[in-house]
Amino acid sequence: MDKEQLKKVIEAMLFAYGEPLGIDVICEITKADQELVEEAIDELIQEADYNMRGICIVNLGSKYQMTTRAQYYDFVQSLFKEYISTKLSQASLETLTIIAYKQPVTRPEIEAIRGVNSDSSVRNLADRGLIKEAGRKDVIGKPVMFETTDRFLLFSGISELSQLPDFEEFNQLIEEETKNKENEEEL
Amino acid sequence: MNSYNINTKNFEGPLDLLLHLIQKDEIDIYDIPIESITQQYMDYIYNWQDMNLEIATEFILMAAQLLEIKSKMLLPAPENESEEENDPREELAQKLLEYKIFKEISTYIAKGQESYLHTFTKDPMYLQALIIEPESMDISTDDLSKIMKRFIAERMLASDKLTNYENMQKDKVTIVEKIKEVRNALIDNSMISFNELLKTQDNIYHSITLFLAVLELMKQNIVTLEQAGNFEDIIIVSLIGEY
Repeated sequence: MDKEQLKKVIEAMLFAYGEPLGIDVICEITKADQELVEEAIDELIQEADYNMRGICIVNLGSKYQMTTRAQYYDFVQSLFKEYISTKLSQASLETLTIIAYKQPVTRPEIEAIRGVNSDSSVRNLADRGLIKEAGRKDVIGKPVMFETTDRFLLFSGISELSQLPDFEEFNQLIEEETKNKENEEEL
Repeated sequence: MNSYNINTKNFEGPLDLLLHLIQKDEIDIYDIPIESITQQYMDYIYNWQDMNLEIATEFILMAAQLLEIKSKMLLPAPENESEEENDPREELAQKLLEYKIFKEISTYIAKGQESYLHTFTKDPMYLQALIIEPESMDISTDDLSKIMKRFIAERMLASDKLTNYENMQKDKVTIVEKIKEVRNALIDNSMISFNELLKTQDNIYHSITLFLAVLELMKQNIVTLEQAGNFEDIIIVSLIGEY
């Protein structure tokens, strides 16, 4: 199969599958080289972006998913009368951030950092498919651990977890801030 | 009553409130003036109490911790240990710093959700042959929902074959008829398999009526039932076939 053919096949597969589709599955079905498949998908993504097509293809780690383009939200949304997109609360956002950096992490561990009960936030995030259970921790009580999902990557607009802002960098930034303050005081 | 107004904005928790107090006064996290911060913190709590707001236990716990730190700082430091290492505020400072970092990163992550919330994705086609790969050994609710949707897709395909929706007929099968059917089957054999009988039934109504018929026969002491274990085949044994 040449690359042009491959692009069309992949596009059709991504549409039918709906959810994030692994590159390994695409390779297995098309019997094509991973490199060629990646090239084909990259071109699909670029063409869709360049032409501002209604559909875009997003890269989520080693998976790809078809979504509607955010720019056309107003029109698409009007199709669904009852649809309301609700933003995450600050509590849920904090909880999600902690899970993203500390995963797999238990609810008590999250609560130790936030200093406040996080039960409803965790449930809300799980309901939205942004986090999922990741087994149980081998400590007393065997608490459930949580980790982020592919949907979280889509949510935060990144294609892998390593693209999250560097925790240490934030740490240093804040420390420098406090140091500067001290210096100012000394002057 | 109050000489000043306290902002009643929502705080995510005691750490959030403390962070607000510290930032407001541009205080160094590692050098918190514990007395004045405790005072301000308590003012918030008293104010909430005055307004009859429910105060989460976490806020009370933090108040106790602040007071504990405050009292520790009033005590003279033990001589054999250096002052720096023994700052009772150290642990709180670490917690505040960690929370502050996560809070700041969370505002960064929040930016991403704008475009996410304006994006739609679709479910897979739930055909009966859809391959569902469980992501782990444990089946999640998501897996279950997919399996259910696939099951519905299968059933819809199957029922399309069986049901003619334009001509719905009332099924006239009765328990009496089914009892006759079972008794007829018991003439040749004193023991018959319930599962075998079930296979000869035309539809679910016949199957249910058959089951009720067997129960009725058992009640009348005409048959007895044997089963090796849960979900095993039920054997119907005749009690009157001997004569």
